[in-house]
Amino acid sequence: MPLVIEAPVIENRKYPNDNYVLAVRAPEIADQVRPGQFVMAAEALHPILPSPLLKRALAVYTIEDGGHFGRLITLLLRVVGDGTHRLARLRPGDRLELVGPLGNGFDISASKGKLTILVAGGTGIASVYLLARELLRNGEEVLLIYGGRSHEDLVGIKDFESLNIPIIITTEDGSAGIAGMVTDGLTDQLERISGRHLHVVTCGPNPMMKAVAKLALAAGGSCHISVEAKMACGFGVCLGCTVKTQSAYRLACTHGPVFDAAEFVWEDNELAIEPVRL
Amino acid sequence: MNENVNLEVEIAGVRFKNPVLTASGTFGYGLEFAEFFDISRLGGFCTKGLSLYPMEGNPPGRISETPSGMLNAIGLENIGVDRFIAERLPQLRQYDCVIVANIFGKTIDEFVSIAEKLNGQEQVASLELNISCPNIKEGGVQFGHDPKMAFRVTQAVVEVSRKPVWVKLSPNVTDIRIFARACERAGADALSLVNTFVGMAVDVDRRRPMLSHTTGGLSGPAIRPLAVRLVRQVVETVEIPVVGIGGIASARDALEFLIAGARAIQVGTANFVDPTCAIRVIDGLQAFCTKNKISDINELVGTLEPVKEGALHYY
Repeated sequence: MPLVIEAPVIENRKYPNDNYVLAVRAPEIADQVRPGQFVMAAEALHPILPSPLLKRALAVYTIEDGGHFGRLITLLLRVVGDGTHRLARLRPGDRLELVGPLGNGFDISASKGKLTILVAGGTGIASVYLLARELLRNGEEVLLIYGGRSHEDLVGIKDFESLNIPIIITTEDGSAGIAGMVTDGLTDQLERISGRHLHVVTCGPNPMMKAVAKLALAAGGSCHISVEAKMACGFGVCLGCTVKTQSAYRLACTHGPVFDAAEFVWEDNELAIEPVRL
Repeated sequence: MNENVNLEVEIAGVRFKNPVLTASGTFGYGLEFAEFFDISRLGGFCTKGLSLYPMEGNPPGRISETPSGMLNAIGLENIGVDRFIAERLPQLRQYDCVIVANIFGKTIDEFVSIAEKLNGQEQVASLELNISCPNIKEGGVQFGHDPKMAFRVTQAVVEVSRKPVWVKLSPNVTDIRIFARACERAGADALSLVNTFVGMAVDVDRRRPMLSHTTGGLSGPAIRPLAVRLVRQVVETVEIPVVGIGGIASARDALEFLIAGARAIQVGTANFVDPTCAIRVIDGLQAFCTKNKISDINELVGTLEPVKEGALHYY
């Protein structure tokens, strides 16, 4: 059941390339969030409305023990526009208004008895950390393929290293791991593990997920994607975040954000354009 | 809470616990908000626009944020009046909540058919005719932007409906008073305004419109002063009650409309930002009345002081 809460920022960790991890005291959300769910977040300025007006959808990245602060959730974000810029400026003691947890989350049973390959691009890593942890707890086998433009984009690497799972790094500039895209790393792995029951979970830019899904399905695996879409509410009423599936339009917020790649219809004109920030 | 303040208002014989409703298209079918607060506390809510048959709406690229507001071109995605009656109304029975069914047709006959289907539904207190959706090719503009058509569709629904009929007006016209008068003459019981203002935003990185529909409806605090002015114009033009809509996110916002003469108001886009916004507005109205020793909120309606003699007074 989603909640509307005001939550203090405990820490704002700055990383290279405009990446930030906000640690927020939100035990109510930490208690009920499932892997793959998200929150809608904006600075709480009651009675003044924040500007930009709409909250931003952010995956719940990790759950931490904040000592005397209680349980924290962390939100990983990269500044791409006004909303994320505003969030990135928050300081400890500032308050966030959160609505959540929201969304369907990952289907844990889809990994049962299979090798689960997590394929994350950039901030897409935030959607799969809680999943990796839960799968490991269930005794499942997990492998991570994690890519970015450069090693500086790999904000989540330390958190995953501490999970002790195999990690394949890819960077477009070759500054770490395989020089190339996550799909290069995935192709290698698929050759190596042919014959195994396979479940691929991917989160990142749409063109990346489209390519990953194609490889995964061709290899006979199942593939679940966690999509991002512009949304005003996050709980199924604005109807703004519609995506196409084989059967019908679906909402990224309540029917998703996790979809079966085999049923998802990709937009033809999907372009991976990095907004020019002026 | 001060129990002595009366917040109840009445529109065309229907009583609302307070003047705070939620606007069509921002409140789903009501049930979506029941997990955030007790929806029985609302004055009432307007359903997502209901059509004769289910509609799937516009392709992705439906919303875009703009300064203090947002553009939308949802394209009236809805489950249709039959499914609303069969699936949602029974679930809504557990709430003591006044339901205003927002309805939309591509033709006058469709409007009439929907109104007839809702006639037998006791839970539906009033109808709100959407003749002002800017985001579909058929139906919206042809009724909302032609006073003769607005008259005809209103008259046709009033004739068959056993419920009070509100008409939701478009602000995208040269003189909204012409439409207000046409609907009043056609027998409308109340007017609600405004629907969204047509706007457009461009994705400069891709050099294409932000919305798949190219244009969309602007809502949110950005439109509030535009809406207050139009509400005032209509209040001074017609005798029937007016329901104010446009960028309301706080009790102070709501009071602007009430003082300008609206009998009730609707919270819209703010429901997306804070799903409990309408409750904050209700509590704020109560507090305002208590502090100002106003025992009945109706005493506030239309109390806008005239401007001083000699000041320019036209809009």
